[in-house]
Amino acid sequence: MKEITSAAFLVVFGGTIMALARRIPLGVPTDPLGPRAFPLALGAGMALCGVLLAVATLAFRAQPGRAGLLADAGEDEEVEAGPFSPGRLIGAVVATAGYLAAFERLGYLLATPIYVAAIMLIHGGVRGRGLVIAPLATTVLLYAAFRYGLRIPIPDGILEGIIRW
Amino acid sequence: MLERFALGAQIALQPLSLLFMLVGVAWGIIGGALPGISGSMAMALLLPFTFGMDPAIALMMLAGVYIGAMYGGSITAILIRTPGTPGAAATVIDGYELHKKGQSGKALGVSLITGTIGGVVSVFILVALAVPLSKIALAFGPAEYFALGVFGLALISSFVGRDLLKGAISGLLGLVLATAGTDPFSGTPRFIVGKTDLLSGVELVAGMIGLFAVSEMLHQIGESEAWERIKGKFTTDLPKWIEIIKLRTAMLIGIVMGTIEGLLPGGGGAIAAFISYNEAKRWSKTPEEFGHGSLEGIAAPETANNVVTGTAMIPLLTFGIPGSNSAAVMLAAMLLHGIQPGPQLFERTPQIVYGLFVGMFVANFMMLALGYLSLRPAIAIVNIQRPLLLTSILALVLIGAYSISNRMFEVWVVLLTGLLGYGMRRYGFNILAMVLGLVLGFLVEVNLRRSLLISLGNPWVFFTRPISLALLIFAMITLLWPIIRQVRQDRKQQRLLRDVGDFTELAESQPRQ
Repeated sequence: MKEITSAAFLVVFGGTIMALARRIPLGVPTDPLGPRAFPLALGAGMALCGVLLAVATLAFRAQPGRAGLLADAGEDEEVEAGPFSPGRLIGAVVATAGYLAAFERLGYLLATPIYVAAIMLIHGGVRGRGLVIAPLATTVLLYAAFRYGLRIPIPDGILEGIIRW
Repeated sequence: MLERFALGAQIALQPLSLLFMLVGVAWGIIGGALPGISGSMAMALLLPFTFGMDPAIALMMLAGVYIGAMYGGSITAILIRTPGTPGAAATVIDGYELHKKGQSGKALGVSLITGTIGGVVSVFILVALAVPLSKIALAFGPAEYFALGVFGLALISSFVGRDLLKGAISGLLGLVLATAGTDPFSGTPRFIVGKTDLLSGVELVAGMIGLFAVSEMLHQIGESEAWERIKGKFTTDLPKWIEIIKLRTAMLIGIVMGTIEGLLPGGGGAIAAFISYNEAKRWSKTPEEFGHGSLEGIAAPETANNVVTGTAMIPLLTFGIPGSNSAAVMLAAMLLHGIQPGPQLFERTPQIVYGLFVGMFVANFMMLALGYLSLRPAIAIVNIQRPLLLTSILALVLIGAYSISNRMFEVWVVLLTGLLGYGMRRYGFNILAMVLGLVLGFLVEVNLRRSLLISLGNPWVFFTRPISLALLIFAMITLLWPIIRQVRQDRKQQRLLRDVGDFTELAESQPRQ
């Protein structure tokens, strides 16, 4: 099922690339290929690979002994099996996206400790004071390293103007 | 040539360079010792810190990380049976056995010494091969560069194993990403989806940080594995000269295998280490000791994966093709500092190339000294709680991505490519193949169009120039060879199955005695 999903995604993705590539202007007349041809070919290649993946997966299911070149295409095993927790993964991605959205508005010094604590909670294994001290220490250390060490203007967000360094 | 080395030495031996190399090697040992942080990831994490640096010093520091990580990986391989880097996986076999026998210090010492010897030899191999190859590459025109790009892409087939189709898809994905941005010929925007930030294309550094570092962090959070602490106090027990001499065959095997695998894209330290281990066992006078605490079983893989540190730089420096994840991060660092790898690099900025050669030579001795002295601090860091370490690294990666150009766009690219990389890993696609596509996409398209422009649209231009033709033939062979090999293997397997079937039928038809 996983392979068929991948194959369907690739066909749609390849088709989208081709559709978008068709909208690219033809470019200068002296350029025989122009800016459109290469992406168009890539989109077609991607869609073709999607079809091949689907065919290989179905053929593999029909004749497991004759997997040949696409032997792994049909396997439904996890590539890196482990105690996978979708909740933890989704939580981490949502927390990271939220952090990025708040990064400039809220400011690095306010957003980072919340984010670090959130990821620690999602991951598990840290409790009590560690959930306060570690995020604060990480934030201050990274802020100092980038702001003063590398002289990167880190956004202060709502703290801008309130605190002066 | 000698003047160039003198120039390189002048840069590599200045106090600031030595200091940053020392920092790089120390971080490499620590990063390498941390299971889940590979050498390439340790390098990627340090990338943002190189922004304000002189490019030569930045590259030397990153090379130091790469070298240090090779030894760091063996610390946890020996002490807790968990290789810190893929390259140290073969070291687990005999290293952990020696640890169980109470000879951890000896195992660590052999790993350190043979790794240093391998690393130093690899610098000589690097110089011996890269300099003449860069001279050949100077004769390249657009047709040759196009053929080289095609050859680089064809090499994907050599490291994706049986998953040729998924390797091809990964490469295509990289090529598609490489086309996003402004078309270099007409200035037409392509696939920018209304984002002006994408006009300059997908930032390679952000992409690599996402693909290598964030995908690994997401993997570790999503599939949280138990981590083992290193218990007890250890010291490194360096082997005596006579013991080193006894290991010469194993080291020689490591050097040969490391050179071959380092030159082949995707080969990497892990494959070199395992092949060397097997060969060392085959050539050993005491093969029965392998798997039960053989020093040769540590010497061969450790020499091999350290040889790869130098030889993996050859395709990168001479042709601009990164053959491993670490070389890809090195390429990203070069581009970040406005350096285009390839033959011109040797002519235009010899101080960088030769500085890197001398720097890598020195960094190997730094690894020896730091490896000997920093065992206890490295163990203390490995023992830090995993959630704390993961979140700190994730926070570092994100602020590091912001510092690329002080805008949020790159940070989002890091998150998105991290998700993409994670998905690719779960679904069995190959990240390095995608990076090769991303890196070579521009080279292939620009030189294809430039060649056709010069030849007035005549595609024979690629077949009438000898180097271009030779590279295309090599590309074809590289592409077809794994397919032919696979077909032959499958046929052999089917023949065997048929024979076994016939034999079983025959056995079953015989009357039982």
